[in-house]
Amino acid sequence: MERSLCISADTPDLHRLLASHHEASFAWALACARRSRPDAEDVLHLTYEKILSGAARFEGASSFKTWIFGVIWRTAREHARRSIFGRWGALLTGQEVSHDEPIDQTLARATDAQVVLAALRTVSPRQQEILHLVFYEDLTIEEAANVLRVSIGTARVHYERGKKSMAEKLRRAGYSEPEEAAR
Amino acid sequence: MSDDERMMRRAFAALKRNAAAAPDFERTIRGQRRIKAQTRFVMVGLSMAALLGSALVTFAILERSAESTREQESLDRALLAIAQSELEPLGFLTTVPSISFDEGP
Repeated sequence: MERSLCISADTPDLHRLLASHHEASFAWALACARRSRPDAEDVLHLTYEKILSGAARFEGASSFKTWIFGVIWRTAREHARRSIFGRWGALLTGQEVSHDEPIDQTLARATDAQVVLAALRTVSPRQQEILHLVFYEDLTIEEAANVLRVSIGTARVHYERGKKSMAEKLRRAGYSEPEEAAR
Repeated sequence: MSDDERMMRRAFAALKRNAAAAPDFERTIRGQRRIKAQTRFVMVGLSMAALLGSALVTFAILERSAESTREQESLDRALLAIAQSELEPLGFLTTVPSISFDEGP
């Protein structure tokens, strides 16, 4: 249904659509901003600003979700490029700075989600993005490729390698096997 | 579905259950104060850098100019000394007026 829409910036429909995808958009912005909440909030705000000012327009070529994820991804990249003082700012304001703690140390006190996050951080950024889109947002590989503006072949390679590497890390970390497989 | 895929689905489901709550939608649209604070921080930083840069350039120009004046003076002194030592024995320029470089022409 969304695919057939071509929404201009001033319609109330756009506001409603943005609101309905807000949770998923924030989760994706968080993944694009390397799990930094302040950066994710900034990226999402800038994305909404772009969309509501008409700088980014939904033409209906893909689903609204795929389109807005693409805008968020591009905005996150621009934001990262512009944030020359980002790391200094984070240090000054005491915000979370990602650190590459060895997975074994993380596991000693980790919940399931922390184990998954630690394993996710061990794969490349591009693989993290594609795994998030497929497993967290339930997009197809084709849609994920569309969001990340890469060919389906490239997306599939990132997906396969990322999945294999992360599953291996999870297994090595003692993350329990799926119930279906255990039976 | 392969074992890897099942494990990944389960792993991401755990991530989803523990997902951070999204900020309020309306507040996100209006924007955070943080962006303004960051912009101010960058603007002040750039102004300070520009000020410091121009001060450094001015200092470098003045220093260079003083150095070239000193070089010129020492060259003039050397030429005068040569002239005196070569020409005075021949009877020329015995009344060479004394020149003070400090006072200028």
